[in-house]
Amino acid sequence: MIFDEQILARLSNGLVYSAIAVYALAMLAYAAETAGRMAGARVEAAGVAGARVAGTGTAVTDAPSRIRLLGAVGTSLTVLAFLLNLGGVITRGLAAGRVPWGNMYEFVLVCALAAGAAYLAFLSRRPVRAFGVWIVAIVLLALGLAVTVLYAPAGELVPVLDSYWLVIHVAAAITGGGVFTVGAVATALFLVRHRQERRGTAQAPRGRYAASLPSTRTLEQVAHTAHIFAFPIWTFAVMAGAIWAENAWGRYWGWDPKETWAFITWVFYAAHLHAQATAGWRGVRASWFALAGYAAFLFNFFGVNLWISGLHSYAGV
Amino acid sequence: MICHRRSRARGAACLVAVAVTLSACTADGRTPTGTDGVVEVIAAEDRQRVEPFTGELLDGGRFDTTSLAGKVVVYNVWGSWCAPCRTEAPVLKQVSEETRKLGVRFVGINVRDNDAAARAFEDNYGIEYPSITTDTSTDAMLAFGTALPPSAVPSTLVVDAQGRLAARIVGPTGYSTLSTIVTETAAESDPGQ
Amino acid sequence: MTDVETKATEAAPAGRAQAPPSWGWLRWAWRNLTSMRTAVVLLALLGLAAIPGSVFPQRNVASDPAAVQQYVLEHPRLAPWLDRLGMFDVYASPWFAAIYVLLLVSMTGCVLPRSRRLWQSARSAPPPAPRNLTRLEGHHTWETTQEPAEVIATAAAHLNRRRFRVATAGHEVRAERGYLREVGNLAFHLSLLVLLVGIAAGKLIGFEGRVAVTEGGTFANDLSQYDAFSPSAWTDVDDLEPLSFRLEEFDVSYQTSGPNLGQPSQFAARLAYRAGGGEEQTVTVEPNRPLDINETKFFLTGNGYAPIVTVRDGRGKAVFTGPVQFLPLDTSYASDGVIKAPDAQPTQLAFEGFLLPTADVGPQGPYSTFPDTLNPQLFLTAYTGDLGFADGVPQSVFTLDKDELTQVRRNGQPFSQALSVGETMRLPGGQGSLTFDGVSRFANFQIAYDPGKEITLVAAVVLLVGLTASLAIRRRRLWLRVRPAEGGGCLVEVASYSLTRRESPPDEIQDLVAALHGPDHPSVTAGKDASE
Repeated sequence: MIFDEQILARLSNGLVYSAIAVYALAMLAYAAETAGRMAGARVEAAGVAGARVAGTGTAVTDAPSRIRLLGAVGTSLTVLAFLLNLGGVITRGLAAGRVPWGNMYEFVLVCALAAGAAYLAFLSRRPVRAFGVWIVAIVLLALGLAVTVLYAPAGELVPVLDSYWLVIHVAAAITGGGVFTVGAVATALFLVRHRQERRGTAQAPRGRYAASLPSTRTLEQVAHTAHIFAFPIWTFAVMAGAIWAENAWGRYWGWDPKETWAFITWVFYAAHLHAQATAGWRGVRASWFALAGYAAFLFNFFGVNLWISGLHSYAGV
Repeated sequence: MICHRRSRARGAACLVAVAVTLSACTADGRTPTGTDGVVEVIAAEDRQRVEPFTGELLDGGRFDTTSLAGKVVVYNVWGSWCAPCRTEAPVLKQVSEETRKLGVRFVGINVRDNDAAARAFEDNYGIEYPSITTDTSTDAMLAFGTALPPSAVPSTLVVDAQGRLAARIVGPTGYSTLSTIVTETAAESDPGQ
Repeated sequence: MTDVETKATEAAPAGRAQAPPSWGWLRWAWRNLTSMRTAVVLLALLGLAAIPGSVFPQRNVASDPAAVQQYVLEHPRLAPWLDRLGMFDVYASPWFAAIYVLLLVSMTGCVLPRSRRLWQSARSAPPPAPRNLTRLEGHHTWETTQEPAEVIATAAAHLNRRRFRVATAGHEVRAERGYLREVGNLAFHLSLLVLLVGIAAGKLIGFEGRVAVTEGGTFANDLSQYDAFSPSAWTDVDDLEPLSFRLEEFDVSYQTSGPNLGQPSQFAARLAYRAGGGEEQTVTVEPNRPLDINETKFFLTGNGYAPIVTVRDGRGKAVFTGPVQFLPLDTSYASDGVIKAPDAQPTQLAFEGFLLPTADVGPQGPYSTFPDTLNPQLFLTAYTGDLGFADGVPQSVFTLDKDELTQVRRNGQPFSQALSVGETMRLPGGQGSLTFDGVSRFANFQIAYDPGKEITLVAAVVLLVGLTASLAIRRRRLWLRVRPAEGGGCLVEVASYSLTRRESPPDEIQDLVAALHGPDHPSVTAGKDASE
């Protein structure tokens, strides 16, 4: 049995490394596609501002077939890398004989998986391939950090984590985080695109990149969908965490740094959703709140675990 | 009845600060606020019964509250690790000796201690009255709950001849305070003397 | 307020010039306070204000109660200023409270008028269609041979089946759906208020405490037995739950092989407890499995070692026999502590040092290689003199006040010794001895009483359901208009209007169109193309 577990653990590591390699290839393909689209955008900008009129990703469909092929290759590789990542997570769980999110390393693995899943889910119904290069870059960075800095061998849980609330609370936090990642990328690209549309320039390299993006309307809609999907999940994650804290430490809220930053994340995203409904703040200003929320989420994820000690420290490196 | 309990609760609220500081000497050494305990004397008609309890004694033998029925009993919660207990130890010794002829009995409740250290303390201060051991002290500690619990180390609880709580001193006691309370409690049960 | 476009509060504060000046100011202030813009600013401020609390150590935070004192010692200049600004008590500070109180007032001021409007709109019929439907979402138009009344009846029936609120007026069908979105939105915001009531109840009546109990040791639920106790404003400390327990055994197991060697795999405290004068019962308390007696809960939150020692004084008399709690310093449970014998004669004795559960010696000196007691060793130095008890000042059992103490020396060097179980260290000059009898464990319990919890939980559930409804449900209106055509039949126009950011579900219109024509009518697709 122990033998099996060790094989599974090694298999898991192998799959994660393969996922990293394939994600790297996917990023290359997406980057090449982006470069191609930028070239396409310049052509369009020279004529009529085609991308702006078309609304939803006409730039992609108008691009030459080679560029489209690169994009398709990028997406196929992303799907493959996602499956490898999934395999890595499942084998890890089997090796440890529990849910595969009991320490930082595993948490990052699963969060990368969630971000990949959220991206692919959006891709199946929205023209968001332009996000691909960024999502893949973030996932790649996360996985790279996981295997180098955060790696921990598969094993039993420390007793304080041995609770079904681990399954619920952490799964919700991961799902929320994955979808927030897509929301953050969409928001950031929205800001880039919005600036370009305001200035009306597609000449400088930055402007060309911005012009190659989907329209602000599409970007804003994708960001909005991601945020209103992830926000209740995040709310639930915070609540489940509070219930678990009550069960483990005797208080449901103690302003432990992890709790504090989960709260800050929640409050910033709440501010974002309210700003989206405020005349004059909708769009650009509201977007900054969403990015602040995502920054707080990231800090909670890395900063709090690595720099601030608290009751959640056992989850550390 | 309810009214009384309310007023007591309010009185207790102002004790919290002192009591916490004193009990804190068990682990989190903090700066002390003083050595005068907080005294509450309960009028005869408001007193509540203390539950009977038993325990083992430091010098061997067994203690049972029923053996002291009809007597005024002074219980002192203490530990050898507790510095304020040392300042009040001579007071307790003196008052216990002076009021013995009035029929008053003193019983220590040793808490969070070990028996060897507790015995060494009693030897040092010449304490003659018995003390319940730490290991068997929980019943004694909870027996006062329906009236007023000890709530600090040291604290001193005076039980009248009817087995009701007559006074509580949270924190170390001074001579005149304790002597007055004990003498008055003894006098009310035996007015002829 | 979350993500809803129909905002009346955004109206510019104008046209109130006739009001008396003081009233005008109040009205102006109130309107600004309850505006969405203010809510957004306050939310952002609340998030920012919470940050210092995670950067600076906080009082009354369970993870490390001594952290503030430590910080003050390390930053003697800065700390008093930070303290004045409330940086060690951020979440109880007036400025933090100011932000959330303003936010709550702003929220309530915004939500209550909305509740009234929701109530009104829920009782009134859907509004009439705008004159020009072509600019709305999913606009379709076609000619049909059906009579106007027939079209209207079919459409109304269809929309009724789809759970729209439907009203017909003349040649119009007016329909609206998704009121639950507003209900959810209001439930979300109002449950936040209830949530705070629950939190406040706990903060006013409940308490938190800590106690460390050694194996074989007892605890009675009296204030005097706590190591630390944080009461609330209205905690009745004389009315604690009557219960007591003895820690029968504390079981720990560690992984003895594999990559996570030394990682704990089990903590279990076996207690024999009595509640309310009842019979003694046994229970095992583990992490995530507290003991719950009438809402007073005992949580196992930590553990450590208590070396068992016998101290004899200069007369050879045992002046201390028993376990002494040492505080663990790291994950291998190297622990330090002190042993005090204030009643030793002729001089008081004290010992200071550390315990290594599995001692080994490396280049840096002795250290512990494993958290379990495979080779426990006690490393001690000794002191004689005055422990400082005489002045009656309470002191910590974990530190020595060395002002009046002299370190015991031999040959000019501090006298120290490493002891294995059973060994004795004898002080030079016959001043006393200490025997290491064995090692016991202690368990740390966090004790909590929080009576507002159920309210908070119910509010949280309502909050989540309300939030989800307010974000997931789309409130939209749908209109159908017929114009009788010359020579029978009529011209039909449909369109929908979303009251939220997201578009109305497109198939809703399509289904209506299909219901009026039959599903395979060519104009369904033709109409769609035309509208784009």
